[in-house]
Amino acid sequence: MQSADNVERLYDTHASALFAFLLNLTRNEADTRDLLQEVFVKLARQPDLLAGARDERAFLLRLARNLFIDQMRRRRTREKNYERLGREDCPLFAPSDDPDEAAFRSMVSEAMDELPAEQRAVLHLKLWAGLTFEEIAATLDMPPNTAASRYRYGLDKLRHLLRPLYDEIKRT
Amino acid sequence: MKPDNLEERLQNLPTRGVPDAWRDEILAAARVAAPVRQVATGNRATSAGLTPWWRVWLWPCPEAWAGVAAAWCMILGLHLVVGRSERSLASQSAPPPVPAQVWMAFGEQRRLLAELDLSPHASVRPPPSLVIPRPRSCRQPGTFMA
Repeated sequence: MQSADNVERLYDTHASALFAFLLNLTRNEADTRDLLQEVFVKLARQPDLLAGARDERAFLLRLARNLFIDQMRRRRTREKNYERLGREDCPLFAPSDDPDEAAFRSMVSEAMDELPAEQRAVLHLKLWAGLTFEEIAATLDMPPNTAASRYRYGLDKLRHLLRPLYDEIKRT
Repeated sequence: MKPDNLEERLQNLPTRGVPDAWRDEILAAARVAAPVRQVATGNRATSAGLTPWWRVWLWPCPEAWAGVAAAWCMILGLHLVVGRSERSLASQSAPPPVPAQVWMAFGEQRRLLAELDLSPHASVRPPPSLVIPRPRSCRQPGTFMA
C-alpha cells in the first residue's frame, strides 16, 4: 500500500517539475492545479502505480501529460476553442529583478505559447526537465527521431520569435 | 544569436515553483481519496495478483453471468416442481398392493391346472385325428381322405 508518507515524498520530490510541465502545457494555473492534484490523487488511489516504473520522474511526467490530454478531450467536447479560451497570461518562469532578464523571460513565455503543444512538450522536457531524447520519446509515446526533430523545429521557431528582443538586449 | 547560446540561455531560465499553499491542499485530497477507495472495495485486493480468481473470471460482465445463473435457478426450480407433481400422480394411479394370500391361491390354481392339463393352452389344442392314413401306394384315384 502506498502510504501517505510516500505520497508526500513523491510530492516533495517531483511536484515542482510536474507543475512547470503542466503549466507549460495548459498555460492556465487553475487547470495546472487540478491536474497536479489529479496526479497525486491517482497515486494515492493506486498504490502499485509506480511499482514497475524505472524512472519515477519520467513516469510521473508521462502520467501528467496523459491526464492533460484527457482533460483536453473532455473540454473539446464542450468547447471547441478551449485551447485559446483557457489560456491566460501566466508566466512560466520565476520573476527577475533585472528588467532585461524579466523582459526576456516574459518574451520566452509568450513565444512558448506560440508553439504547438507537441513541440512545447518536447522543448520543456529537454530544456527544463533535463530528459534525453530517448526519455522524451518514451514519455511522449513517439520515436526518438520525432522527438529530436520536434525539438529542432521548436527551437528554430523560438529563435525566430526571440530574435528582435535578443538583438535589442545585445545592442544595449 | 548562436544556437548553443540560445539553448544554454533557455536552459538557465528558472521555472516557477509550485505555490506553497497547494501542497497541503493536494496532499489532503490525496489522503481523502486513498481510504475511500479501500472502503469502497472492501476486502477486494487492488492489485491483480491478489484479486480472487472468481472475480477475475466474472469481471467482464457480471450482470450477464447473474442473468444466466438466475435462468438456471428458474429451470431447476421448474424441474423440481414438475418432477414432484408427476411422482404424486403416478402414486395416485397405481393399483393397491396384492395380498400374499391371493398370490398363494393363484399359485395353487396354476398347480392344479397343470396337474389336470386343463390349462387354457390345452383346451384349444385340436383333437387327434381318428383316421390313420394309408400308405400312398395303396391310395386309389378319386378316393379322398376324410
